Amino acid sequence: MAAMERAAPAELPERKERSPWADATYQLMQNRLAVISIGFIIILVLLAVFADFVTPFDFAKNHLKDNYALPSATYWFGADNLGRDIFTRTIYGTRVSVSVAVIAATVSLGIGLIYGIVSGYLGGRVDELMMRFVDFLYGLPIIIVVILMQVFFKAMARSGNAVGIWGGLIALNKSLGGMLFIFIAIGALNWIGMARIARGQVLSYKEKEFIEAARSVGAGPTRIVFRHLLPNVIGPCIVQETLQIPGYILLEAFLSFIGLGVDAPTPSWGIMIQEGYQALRSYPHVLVAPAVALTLTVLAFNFLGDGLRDAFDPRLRGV
Amino acid sequence: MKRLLYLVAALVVLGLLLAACGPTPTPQTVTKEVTKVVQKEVTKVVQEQVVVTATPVPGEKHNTLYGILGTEPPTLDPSLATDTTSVWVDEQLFLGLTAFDANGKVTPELAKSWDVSDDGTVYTFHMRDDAHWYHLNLATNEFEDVGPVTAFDVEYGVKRTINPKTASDYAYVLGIIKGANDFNGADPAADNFADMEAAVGVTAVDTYTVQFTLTHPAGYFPAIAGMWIARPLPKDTINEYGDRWTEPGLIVTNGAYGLKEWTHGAHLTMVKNPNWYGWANSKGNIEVIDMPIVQEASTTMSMYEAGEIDFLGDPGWGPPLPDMDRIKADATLSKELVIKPRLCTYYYGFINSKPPFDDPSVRKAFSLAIDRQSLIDNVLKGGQQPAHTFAPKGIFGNQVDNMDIAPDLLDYSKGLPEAQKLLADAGYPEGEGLDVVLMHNTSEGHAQIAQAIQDMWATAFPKANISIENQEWKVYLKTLLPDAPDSEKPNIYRLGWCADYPDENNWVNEVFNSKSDSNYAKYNNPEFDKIVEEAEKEQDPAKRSALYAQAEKLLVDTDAAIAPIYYYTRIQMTKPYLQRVTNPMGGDPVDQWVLDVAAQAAGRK
Repeated sequence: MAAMERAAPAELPERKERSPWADATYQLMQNRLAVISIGFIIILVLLAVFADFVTPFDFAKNHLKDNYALPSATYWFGADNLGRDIFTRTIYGTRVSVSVAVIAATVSLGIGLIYGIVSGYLGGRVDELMMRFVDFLYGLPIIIVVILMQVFFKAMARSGNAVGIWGGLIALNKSLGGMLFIFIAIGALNWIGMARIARGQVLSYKEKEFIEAARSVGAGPTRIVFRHLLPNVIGPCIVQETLQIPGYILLEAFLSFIGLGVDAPTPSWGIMIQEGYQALRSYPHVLVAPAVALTLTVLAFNFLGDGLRDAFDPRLRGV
Repeated sequence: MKRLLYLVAALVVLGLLLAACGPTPTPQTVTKEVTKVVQKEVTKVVQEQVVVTATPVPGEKHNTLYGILGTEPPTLDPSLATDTTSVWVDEQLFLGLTAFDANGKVTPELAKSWDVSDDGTVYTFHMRDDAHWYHLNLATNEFEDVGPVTAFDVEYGVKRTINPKTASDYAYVLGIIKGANDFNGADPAADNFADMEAAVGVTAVDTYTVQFTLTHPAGYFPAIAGMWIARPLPKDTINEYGDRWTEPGLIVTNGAYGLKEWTHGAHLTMVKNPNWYGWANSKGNIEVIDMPIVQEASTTMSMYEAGEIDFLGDPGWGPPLPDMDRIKADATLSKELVIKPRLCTYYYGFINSKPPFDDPSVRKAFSLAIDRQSLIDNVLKGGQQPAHTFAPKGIFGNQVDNMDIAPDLLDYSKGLPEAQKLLADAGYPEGEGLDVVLMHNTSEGHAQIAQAIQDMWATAFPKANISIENQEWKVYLKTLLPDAPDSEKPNIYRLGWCADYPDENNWVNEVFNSKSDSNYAKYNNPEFDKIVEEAEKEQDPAKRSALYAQAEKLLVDTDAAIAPIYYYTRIQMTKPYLQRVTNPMGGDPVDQWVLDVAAQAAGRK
């Protein structure tokens, strides 16, 4: 038995000078779960983009005689109630979920960031007004508002005689299988948390010396906001947004589950879970693929968000 | 720690999604929004005699039947009921002049017998004198006798349904009674309102004889006279309590069971009324009917398999579509499955007034491009029959065997090329330029059928753009109302129609006459209206039948106002320890059901 030996104190590695961004990247890469999550999300995005090439089936094509087929060489994950290939539908469902994640997050980040920075930077009466409006929006039950918006959009889309921008939106929504209105509905209210964070960051930075310095050498508000405030504010906001993405994905799945999401037969994990749930007693395999996909995706975004937060704000690490 | 929280949160949300209320597969009967008019008039209840008898108490050892209601009954007021759930409960509480037996034949109930005048327009019902009204006293748990059921109660009940102040959606079925339509359309503020009520052709000749005068002869009238909307009603109770009169503790009933408890949206209990005259001749032994309200088919299936409920299918959900194969393959479950015909048709209607479906060729093409047999074999699996006419077998005047009418609806191999040609000739080759919205009420079953048919259409017309939408039932019916704006309507909608009484008049005339409130398709062909109105008055059965052949041909084939899809079946499951008596009209006389209590207790463990 070898004697236990205390490891000799390692020599401190020589630290290279790194920018905060490079440091954050390095920290992120040290987090194994986050790296796996990034890999998983990249695969998801690739699947979503190249769905047409991954599978020989059409997601909407029925094979009524094969309904509820068990997993086989033809149907890798089995077939659903109308004999549609579940593997294909799960892959195409990725498209909906990833689109929601990306677009809703972008919309929410965009609106929230601008709103928060403007509010925080201008301060005073304007800040007061803008923040009271945010408080008001906070008071609304978001899910109910989103449901109402979806009902409204669907009714408008059906009226058919819309013209102009509205008509264009409706046409675009139709070609996206009903996804556009989900983006709008989800993005439209979820920026309020972002706005508060951005404003808080701006408030703390705008009194700092480097802003004073910039102002004293004659920088205008635009330059201060874009060159000096934005780079400092955006990090925590991105972290926050990443942590909200699972919420968006679940919200979309929930809306589709209750029939207010994408239009049939466009597959969404929410719709597939709903269909699988109906068949749970007799054909449990129908539920497995979309449920696993949804769970893994939500977890991946959570781990990534955690990793990002740790990387950007070392004080919070491990909390 | 936080990660764990997220993990838990994700799982909880997933769980919530799973638990969230899903829609339901059993297609519904056509019903409409109900507006209630409260009668404010207060009169004293006259309790003529009070006989007190012991009544079973739920929870104690009584023969208890466990079932489910698929939805909260929208009303228990027989004048206002339009849906299968309400009617099922009312069937246990209230008696009609007539009833249906297990074969759908009209049999006496409150009426011992009836005569018809020579010209066929005056029906005289002779009522039994041993039926009484009872009030279930919740404090003492006893049924108190409130007096006999008389011809005056029938007259009151019928006139109450017709009265425009009651706003019954089914009043039109009584339109065959002389003066009924005038009274129903009258303005309650008009001076002659009372006169118009008096002029309605229903009169209590004496205490136990009631006479109906009809606008024209109708052999099916005894069936209408037994419907829930024509039942005797307790006038004093209704006057005293207004629209609350159907609440437990207030309600006065005359049927085999009384209403013990009704927790809205959750639970309903009925208990045996031991005073009811019919028990003497009934083998039935059920003393308590215990019915939770469960809005989901898959949940009720689990409850059934766990032995928590004794039967499935009317008034609650039948077995869910995904479970049909398993049920048929399972040695025990397959024996408990019974599939019976039901007088209902599942159809897709076209909004005839909204382009491009104002063109009969387009409508016909879409109707032909549905592979009905494949839909039944692979999706529905409930022994349904593919439909090429509106009314199913069992309805007088039905044309199911008439192969002159749209035969290719039943033969997809011929129907498909024909459909493609029709649509091309109409100016939409391969469906090019068509933007079609198909709408159904929210339900997993309807969604599945809609997607199957959408794919059939997409195969037949590859360039057409067909989208599916769904709405909650109440919203859905408002969208479809004939006077709602066409712009908010879909192009194609799904509905079912079930017989109120087994005659074609209840189908082609009462649904698709251009003046009908149920004409959601906005089908308007004066020739069709003329035929169905003539058929309603025609006395010779052969001539009537011939007229209905013409009407069905116009409706489904020539004009293709609708696409009939299949004739319903009643898919039921019943535990072996329950003998269940039903009739094809959908009423279930629970007073004739026999339960083996020992076997039930064993099955629940």
